[in-house]
Amino acid sequence: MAVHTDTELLQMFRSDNSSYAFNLLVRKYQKKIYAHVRRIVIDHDDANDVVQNIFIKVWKGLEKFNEDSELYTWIYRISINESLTFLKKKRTKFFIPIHNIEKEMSSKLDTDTSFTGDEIERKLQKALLTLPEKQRVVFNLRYYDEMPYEEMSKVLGTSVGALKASYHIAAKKVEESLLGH
Amino acid sequence: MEELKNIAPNLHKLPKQDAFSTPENYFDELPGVIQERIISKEKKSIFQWTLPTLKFAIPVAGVIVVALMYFNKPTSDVEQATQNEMTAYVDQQVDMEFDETLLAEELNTDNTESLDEVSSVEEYLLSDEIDENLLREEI
Repeated sequence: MAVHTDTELLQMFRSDNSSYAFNLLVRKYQKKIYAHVRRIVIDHDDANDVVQNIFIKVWKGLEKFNEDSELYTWIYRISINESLTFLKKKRTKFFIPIHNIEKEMSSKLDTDTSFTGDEIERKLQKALLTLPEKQRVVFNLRYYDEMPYEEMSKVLGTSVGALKASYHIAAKKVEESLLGH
Repeated sequence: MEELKNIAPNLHKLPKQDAFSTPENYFDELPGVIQERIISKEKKSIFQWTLPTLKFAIPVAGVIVVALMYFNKPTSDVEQATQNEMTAYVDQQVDMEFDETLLAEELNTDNTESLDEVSSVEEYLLSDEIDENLLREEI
């Protein structure tokens, strides 16, 4: 299946083929978005719920999307908001203090059969769970998605300088964790 | 990612892994699942929007219809006519239908009748049929 550009998808969506165009859009972004969400919420079922909610929000907002920003930047922004809102709701729902939800996710990494990484990767994921949420998001966008700082700045609404500093700190902390400090 | 070389050399050396797997056919089915959720949400939202709205809309529409009927009831020709038109109409009708001779006859007839009434009262009073004793008692 040919991969359409975002502009083509938007044009198609605004013509009579909105459902078809949306389907193509989901197929284009689902793997990236899922991977990004899964790294934040760890559990597959949780990631599945969040990803579905993200694309439902994309569907609802797509009609009013005014192309001030890039489509993928906008989708990433929704993804991050939805993922962080999910964790916030989980804490509020179960009255779990901030560190415990990360502990819960860390334990999940030990028992989850769908985690297929090796021991070093498990250690890396556990180290990431010790970071503050927004630092973790910055690290994931830069390290895994290799997103340029300028794009990250548009997604997160933070200055490039602040993002560089945040990534620097996060990487240092992860390095120390990997070395067993 | 050259920037990692200096900050975190060990992390830099690590091969990046896709460590989270998904159930089989997950990404083949996900677009369909999302489409189904969108359709069911849209149906639900229409239903949720319609019922409570109808509860209020029907009485409000009823009041509006009654108010419109009251304020827009059809007016008669007479009400629609202007003052000048009405005056002209009356003048015309008077000119056409007013017969002075007939009026005079009517007046004469009325007078005759009233005179006849007076006469009959006089006759009654002058007649011998009045019981004077009864009249005194009444007074």
